[in-house]
Amino acid sequence: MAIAIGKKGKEQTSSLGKNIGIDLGTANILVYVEGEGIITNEPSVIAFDYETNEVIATGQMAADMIGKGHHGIKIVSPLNQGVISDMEATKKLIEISLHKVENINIDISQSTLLLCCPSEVTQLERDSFMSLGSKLGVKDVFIEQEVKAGAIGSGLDIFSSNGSMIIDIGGGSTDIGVLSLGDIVVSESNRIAGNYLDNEIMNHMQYVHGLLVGKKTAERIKIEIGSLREQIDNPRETYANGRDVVTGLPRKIMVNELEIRDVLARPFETIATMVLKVLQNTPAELSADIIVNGIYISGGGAMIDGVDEFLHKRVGMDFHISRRPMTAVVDGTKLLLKNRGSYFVKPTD
Amino acid sequence: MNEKLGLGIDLGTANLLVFLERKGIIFNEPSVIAFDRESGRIVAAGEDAHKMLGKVHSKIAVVKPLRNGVISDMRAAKALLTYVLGKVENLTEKNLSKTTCVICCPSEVTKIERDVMIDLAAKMNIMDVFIEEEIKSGALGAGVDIFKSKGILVVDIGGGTTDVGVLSFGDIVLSRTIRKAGSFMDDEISKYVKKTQSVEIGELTSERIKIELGDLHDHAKVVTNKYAGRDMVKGIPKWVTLTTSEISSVITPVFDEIIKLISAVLKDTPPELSADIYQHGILLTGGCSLIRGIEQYIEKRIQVPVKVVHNPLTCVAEGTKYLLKNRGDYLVNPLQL
Repeated sequence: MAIAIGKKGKEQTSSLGKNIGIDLGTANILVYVEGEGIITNEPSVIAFDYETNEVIATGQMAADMIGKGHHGIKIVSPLNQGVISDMEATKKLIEISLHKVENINIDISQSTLLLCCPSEVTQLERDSFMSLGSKLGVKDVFIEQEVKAGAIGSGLDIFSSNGSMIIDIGGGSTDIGVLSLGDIVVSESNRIAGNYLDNEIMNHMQYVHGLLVGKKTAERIKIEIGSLREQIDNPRETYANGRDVVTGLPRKIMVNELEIRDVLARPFETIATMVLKVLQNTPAELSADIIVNGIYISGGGAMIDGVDEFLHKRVGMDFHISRRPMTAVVDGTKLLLKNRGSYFVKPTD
Repeated sequence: MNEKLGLGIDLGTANLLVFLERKGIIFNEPSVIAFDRESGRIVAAGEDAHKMLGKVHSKIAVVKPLRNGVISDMRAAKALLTYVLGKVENLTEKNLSKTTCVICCPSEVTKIERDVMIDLAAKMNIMDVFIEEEIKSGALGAGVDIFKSKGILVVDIGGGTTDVGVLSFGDIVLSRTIRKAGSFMDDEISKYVKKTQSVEIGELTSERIKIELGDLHDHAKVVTNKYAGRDMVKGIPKWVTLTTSEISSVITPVFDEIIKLISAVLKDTPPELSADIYQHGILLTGGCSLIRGIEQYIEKRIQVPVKVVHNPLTCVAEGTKYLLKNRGDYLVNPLQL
């Protein structure tokens, strides 16, 4: 009997340590586990009970509570503008995400953990990712930049001497990078991304229509009718429910695509300027590659209709939308886990 | 492996060629090496490193150990040679101690620059070293019998230098060098594109332009090609269209200087040898002799027949085969050994 237990225990330890890649985004958390695929793809939101500090809900369920909670519930987005703002909540969120799928048995302390972060984070912010790893009990943690993972996940061969360029428009940050020979040559990051766009829509609703709308409504409007096309023939429409600023009563209005386009155009103008800035800092030989290969767009922002057309008008290069924009980063971690992010080693699938 | 090895090295600005006795040419790739900045480890050498030029991130340093025909970065030159010998033939410093080595250098280099070459070999634990001029080796490698009482004029237009020399009785009668050759033309092309189109192009692209569009024929067929670079004003990638006539106008001044050098050498040549040269013509070696129409171009201006050798890129390295046999001694004709 004793022998049997010992054997079982041994088997477990050898099978429990896994390679785990996490795209810890402001908007969504995606977890990849070696041999299992992407096990979590949900909003990075967590809800606590105010008094006991117990977790009530995470992911989609917690996201549904945004703007709808009562006194007893504290809803936290543990990441803000691409970086960790609430360490404890982040830790809880990852722990729960890893155990979302019931039949996976992972011993996280023996796993290798890869966390993706925006390109331009301060050393302090980077350290916070590292300490998150140690807080989770993982000894083997390494951090890679999102653009690198995103480029790999978009199917670009970044290990050749052929330069490639990628724009990752996420929830909290937009990252732009030029990659060659397995690493980043030039990169730029700013915080104009999905959440910023939601805020812009909220502001627009308040100032133009006198209607206070919630974050979730703003996001829904962006997803449903967000567009950047210059020529819109049949503008789509959607409703917006909120509270009237003056009367304080609930009100419903209709908004159309044209109006939202004008709201979105300004932040994307900034992103276009950022693209130009990165191109200006790119060595001439890589510029030559980019004009041939075009620029790839990944992240949730890539799903906005006409984003490639918009950027093409301003920058002049060819733009391609990544095949699976939402999961590109976490798809890329698959490969990076194999070579631990070293540009020396070209991981082969 | 304790036998005595013979090693011939053509350490050129553009290409490194290594000749090993009984094996032939074991390496013929660009003289470029890429290091990892942090660990100093070698990431790539030769062709692979050449592709990285102008494309690396801050973790890699791509180094060209030679500039204008002479060693400018000792550490990189040593690393490159050691890497090549180790990689290709599995030779380590231990094997090399019994090696005889000939290194080819441009004709007019200073004593210090020559000493640096010997130093390089010493650093690799090769004690038996001698230096020979590239034109001598080149002529031998092209299969010319330089040991007869016949004057031969050799023009070697390489990557960093152009050498012009007159050979007779197995050695050099006189020789001259200018530090204008292939790389200089690349620079001129990139300057031209910058000036006329406000577009910055990389090293690899300008070299490609030279190879694809360089044509010295009087009525060259007009070829137009598109190349990409970075717009100087806006900073974004941009296509530029270039034609053969444009590129010819950029590279002809360089060839005119080379012709001046040839004339200068011919002026100083003893009359008896001049007569030989007039009869047998000029031998052209080096990478730039592959530019279309170069024979006619020089012929028309010097009025002497010009001939490109059959192996312009490898003749210097091939010539070391003979130099290793006679150690550069003009009294011993290695062709008869």
